[in-house]
Amino acid sequence: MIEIGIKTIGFFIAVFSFSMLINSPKKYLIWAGISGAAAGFIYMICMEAGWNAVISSFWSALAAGLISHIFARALKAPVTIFLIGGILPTVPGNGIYQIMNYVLQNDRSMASFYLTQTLEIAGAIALAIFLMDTLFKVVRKGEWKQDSLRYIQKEERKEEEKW
Amino acid sequence: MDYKLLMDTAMLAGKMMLESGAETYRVEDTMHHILKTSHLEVVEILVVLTGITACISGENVAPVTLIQGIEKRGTNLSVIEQVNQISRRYCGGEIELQEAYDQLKRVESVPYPSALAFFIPLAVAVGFTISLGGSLYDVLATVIVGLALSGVMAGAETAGIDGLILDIGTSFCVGLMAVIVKSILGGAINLDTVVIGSIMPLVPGVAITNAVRDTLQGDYISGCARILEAFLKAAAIALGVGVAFAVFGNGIMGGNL
Repeated sequence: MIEIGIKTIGFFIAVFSFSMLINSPKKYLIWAGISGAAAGFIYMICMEAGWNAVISSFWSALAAGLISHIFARALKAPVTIFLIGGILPTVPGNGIYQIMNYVLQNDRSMASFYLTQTLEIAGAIALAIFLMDTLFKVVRKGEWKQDSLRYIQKEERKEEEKW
Repeated sequence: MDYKLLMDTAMLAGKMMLESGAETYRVEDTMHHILKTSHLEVVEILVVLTGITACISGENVAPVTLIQGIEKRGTNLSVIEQVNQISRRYCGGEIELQEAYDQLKRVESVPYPSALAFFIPLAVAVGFTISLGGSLYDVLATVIVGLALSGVMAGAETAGIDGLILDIGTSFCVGLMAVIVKSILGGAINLDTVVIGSIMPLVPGVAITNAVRDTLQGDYISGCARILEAFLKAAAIALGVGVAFAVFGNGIMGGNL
């Protein structure tokens, strides 16, 4: 448990600084870090539960998407700021390294194993992001509307009333 | 309403967002909201990764069309955020068109102080090494490798090198430094953990996120371009580390990586 705690702090530091690397506004750094730490935490819990890397990445990215969309609406900021940090713990840096390593050692079967796994993880991340984006698009029609949209709709409603 | 100024404002906002690495649909969305404030019947916007085309036209208004090519592409979330705020305020009626245009003109990235910026890649690398379960020795090794990484990245920025060559060069330095550190510290460190942690500042996290969101939104041209970008970056990183391992790994480590 302590190990997971330390690793979560590691994810927080990493994502916090990565957000600085891509020039995120200062006031959102903490939130991006929290998004990344939460995603990393979910990933580790899933791995502990004995699930494989692809499924764990999926749940982690799903959590990242959920948190990012909530933060984006609560703080009125583009969702990308939190989402990039959120998926960073699952971005297959390990896969890239292992593929390179096994190609170098001439171990084709392990290299292709990691290549497939990396592609699967990328697919899992994509699916998770897509699910969350779609979900929030549906929810937005209700009460969660983004501000800019609400203004426009108000304008249009006024227009209709005039007629 | 000054339709030309409106077009200029929308185009400027779109250009800045696309240059700063915003998703294609976000650029289209923002420009659409700005242009919709004119209440004209025709508002058409086409955004691809390399350029923007926009057109407005109405019953008593001659069509206004602008084309804008996009040549430089980077990642700068603070610019996206600022443009977003301005367009939101304009669409909400809080500020006038002229003021929105002036504010957009004044938007500039707020870089972190250069002394701090130097250590950012180092902090990313150390954070990931910790989260990969690295020991204290691994973290120490990552600090050394990360310092080299930060140095190369800062140097490349002053020299104006970017793109794939930068990725290959920096990851080559990571591989080389990791091999050197490993040969000094020996069995105490786990080379895999150190190298994976150290290449994390380079991995195309932004490209992957944007590629996914663009593709699944239906912007296939931009999506494909970004998927290609992500793959090329990943390949460049692997190439850099691989060359360093292949050339120096055997000499220093005697083939026992």
